[in-house]
Amino acid sequence: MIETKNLTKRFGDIVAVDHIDAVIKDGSVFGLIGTNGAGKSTFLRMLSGVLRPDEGTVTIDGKEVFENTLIKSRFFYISDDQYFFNNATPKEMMDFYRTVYPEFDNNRFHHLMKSFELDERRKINTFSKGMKKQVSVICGVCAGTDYLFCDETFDGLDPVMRQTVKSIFVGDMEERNLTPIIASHNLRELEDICDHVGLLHKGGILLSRDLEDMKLNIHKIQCVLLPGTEPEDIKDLDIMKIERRGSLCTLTVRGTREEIEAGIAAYEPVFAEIIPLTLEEIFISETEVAGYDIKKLVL
Amino acid sequence: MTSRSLCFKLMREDLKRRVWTIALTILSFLFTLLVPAALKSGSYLDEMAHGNLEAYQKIRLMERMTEVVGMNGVVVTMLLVLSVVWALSGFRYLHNSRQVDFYHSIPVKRHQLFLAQYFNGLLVPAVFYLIAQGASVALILRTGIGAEILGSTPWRMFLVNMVYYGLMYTTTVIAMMMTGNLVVALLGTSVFCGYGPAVIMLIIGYQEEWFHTIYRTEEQGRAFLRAINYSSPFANYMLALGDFSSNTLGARQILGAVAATTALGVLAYGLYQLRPSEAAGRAMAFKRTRTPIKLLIALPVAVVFSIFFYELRSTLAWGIFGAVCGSVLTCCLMEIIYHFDFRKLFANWIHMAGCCLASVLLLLAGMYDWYGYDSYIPKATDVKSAAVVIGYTDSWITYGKPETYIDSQGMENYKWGYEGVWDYQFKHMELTDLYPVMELAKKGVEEDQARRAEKDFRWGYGRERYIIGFRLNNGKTIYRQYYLPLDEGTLEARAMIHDSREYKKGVYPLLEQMPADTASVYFQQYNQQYALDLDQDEKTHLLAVYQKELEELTMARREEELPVGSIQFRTAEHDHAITQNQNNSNSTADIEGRCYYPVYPSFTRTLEIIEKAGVSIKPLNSDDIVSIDVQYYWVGDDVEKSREDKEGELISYRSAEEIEALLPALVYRDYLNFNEYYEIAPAGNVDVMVSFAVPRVNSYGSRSSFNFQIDLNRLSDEDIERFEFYGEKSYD
Repeated sequence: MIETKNLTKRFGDIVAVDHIDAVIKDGSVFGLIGTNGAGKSTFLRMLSGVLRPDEGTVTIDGKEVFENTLIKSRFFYISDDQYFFNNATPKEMMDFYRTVYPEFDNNRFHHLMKSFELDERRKINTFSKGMKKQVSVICGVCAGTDYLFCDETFDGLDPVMRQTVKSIFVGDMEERNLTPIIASHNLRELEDICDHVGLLHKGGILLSRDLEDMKLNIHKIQCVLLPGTEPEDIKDLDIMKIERRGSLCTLTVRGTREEIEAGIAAYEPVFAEIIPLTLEEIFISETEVAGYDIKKLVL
Repeated sequence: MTSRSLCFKLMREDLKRRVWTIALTILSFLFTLLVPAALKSGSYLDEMAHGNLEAYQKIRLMERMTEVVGMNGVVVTMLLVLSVVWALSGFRYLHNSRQVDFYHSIPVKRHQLFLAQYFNGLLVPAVFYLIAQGASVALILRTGIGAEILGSTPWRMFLVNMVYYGLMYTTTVIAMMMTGNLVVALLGTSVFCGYGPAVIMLIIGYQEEWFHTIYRTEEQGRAFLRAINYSSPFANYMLALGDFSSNTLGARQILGAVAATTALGVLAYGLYQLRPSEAAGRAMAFKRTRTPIKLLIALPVAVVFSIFFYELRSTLAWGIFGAVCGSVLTCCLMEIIYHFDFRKLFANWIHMAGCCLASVLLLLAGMYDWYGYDSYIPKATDVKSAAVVIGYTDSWITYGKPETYIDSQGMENYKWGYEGVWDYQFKHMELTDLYPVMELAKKGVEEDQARRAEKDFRWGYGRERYIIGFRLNNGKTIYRQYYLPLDEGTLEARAMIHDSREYKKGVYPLLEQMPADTASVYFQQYNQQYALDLDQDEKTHLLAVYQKELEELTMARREEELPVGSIQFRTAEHDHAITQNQNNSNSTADIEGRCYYPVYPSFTRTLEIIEKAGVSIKPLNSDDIVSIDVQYYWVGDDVEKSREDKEGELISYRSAEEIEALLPALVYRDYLNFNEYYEIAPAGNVDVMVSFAVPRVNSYGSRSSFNFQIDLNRLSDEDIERFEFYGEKSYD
């Protein structure tokens, strides 16, 4: 388990990460969302031991990360602009990683390179941006670490590759309890993979929730109410948002599915159906409640 | 994985990344060592096969060949370049945030990363240098010159070069640690190599500019030079190479360089541990170092500017302009470098203002002697004794003694081992009558204050320099020098000092010579040398008599007399040195002609003994002279037309009448050199050579012609007109 307490990093007068307390549980995918400059990369660089925190601590299973090789051998950090040696080929990168990650899986590396149709002996500097990202991810998953820190890793991957990578993550999570921590400025990228999401804004963490919890506790109902009944009249439901299109109302309501179904049934609607919320919609609702306009933050 | 094996693996991986550096290193050694060694050894073999070489030609060819693996300037230059290249290529990842993220996120401790990179930069060039040096030695040895001729030189040179390569390399590594940008790191390396010597030179310059009465003894001068040599790795390397060439490089210096490299290596290691990863791309890695470094550079530059602009116009306003200008320009430049942003040039105006203020204060302190340096005179009660160097009086004296050296043939020979003139005098002179000394010092302070008030540029013109060393009761010695006008007060004090026995003891080493040390005595008159035939008692007696007469010589007498000859009391050591050089067929002139002292007409007892020893001391006689050759020169447009008749001509006066006419005015230059206080009225438009009928023989060989001067005071106006001499008589 990764835990940060009061984690702070300043660059001169700028507070890049501002007293963040966060817990990242093993075996889940942690999504770190925020605009450019929100502090995602700085947070990940502290998590990976690159930066020394000005205040607070970063621990993995209770042990400090900074300059702790045992702990550092448990994660692999893919930066948003991953460095490859000059004129290096993927195979040469693999050779280097094998030196520092004892659990590096050569066979899997060769296999994945083949699956991704990447030439191991071609110079990486001739690869496209997406191909470089693929090489990074392949190196990362083959390193055999418990954690994988991905900074904007999905940015630049085409949808097919994105899904492929996600499926690799899912596979590794099932097989060896891999915990990917994925930072992105794009909610939609994380929607179908994250178990837990942290929203960073101006160096601080705005909210950090399990996606399931959020999904279970917030629902969208499309309904047509009896003539003379207005959505505002429904007092039994915690309605967060009301949209009208003719007689069709779309309500965003906080509460469990059962509570909401029971609540709306009491008003005998002409038609009522609970429909799934996207991650974006959940965030919009949650952050609006907190007084922020999410569209300005991450969309 | 053990720490050590990981380190070796990292070293191996690092070398894979630095193939170009390795290639550059190999090529460098190939073209600076192997190729020259092959070319020169081949050339030597060809010459030996075809030519009928003289011994010296063979030696020269061998020297050229062995220089390749010895004191090879090209190799030294190349090693300097390589030290910077290896340091930059090894730690350049620290200046790139992508690379820092990469290297610092992998499970490797930073000290292992540092050690892997650092030792690669030290060991790889050493290995290739050793291989190249070995191969070059082998190429040279194939010529058959024998390993004993090369000796240990190639391996000692290898050791010296590698030790200083390490020092330069580690210095550059520190610059890399302290910066976040390659160009700034290079600037930093230049600062590390040049700052120390530059600041020491500035201190010297500042003192020279503002401490008008400062005097540095030779020891103090050497201390500054030592400080320069030890304040920079580059200067220290150059010093070591110089010492290596002169065979004086000691193990202590090498061990010192190794210790310095180790200390700097530990510092670099510590800096690496402290260095924040986010420093990549910034000018300076450590924020705290920015201000001190800026001020440490800006302040000296401001002082240089203030002195420079003051020198242009000698006004306070220009001095202040220089100080402010230097401060502002340097602070702005440093801020631009720190921020990589031209608009940030006034980012820290408080530092700039502080620097301006400090440099202006330093200017004012120097200009107005706020230090009280020039006005300081120790209290007479605090002074135990004093020493005074009067102008350039008695510059003919040679201090020192013969010392041995091994020549290129391996023979032990003698040369003159000089001792510093003023250092000798300050060491041996103990004036206890402090009155004239204090008078000179007081006058010097008054003169300096007048100079500061008047801003007199022509300082020193028509003045005489006096260097005073005050030996204080507390053991310290304070030195001051003054340029004093030769007025009555100065002349009186000068005469009092000159006439004292303590002064002469401090000036004439002969007065320290013990009678038993005197092995032989020689006398010279008009360059003719005579060995005095004296037994030991007579020599001892003559030395005692001469010493007494020399001690009693007064300024007043010197103003009236010129020597009639010169005398040399050789010690046994002096004689042995001459004999040794003669036996080795080496020149003896350098040591044989030294330590002659003047014999004045008033040294009657000395002259008596010399004459008793068989030397006839007679004045210059026309019978001895064959001709007086006068070279006339152009002396200026203001000279009347009649003087131009002989302009540019060399006229040889040979008739008895002409020689007789000129004879009274002839003054032997060597005798004038013995006595600066004897005034003549020289003819300014001529050089005079007198040719003797019989060649004069002395330690320098046999010669007929010698330099004389014409003293117009001793010629009638008619003869001056007739011979077209130009100048003024000093009295009628």
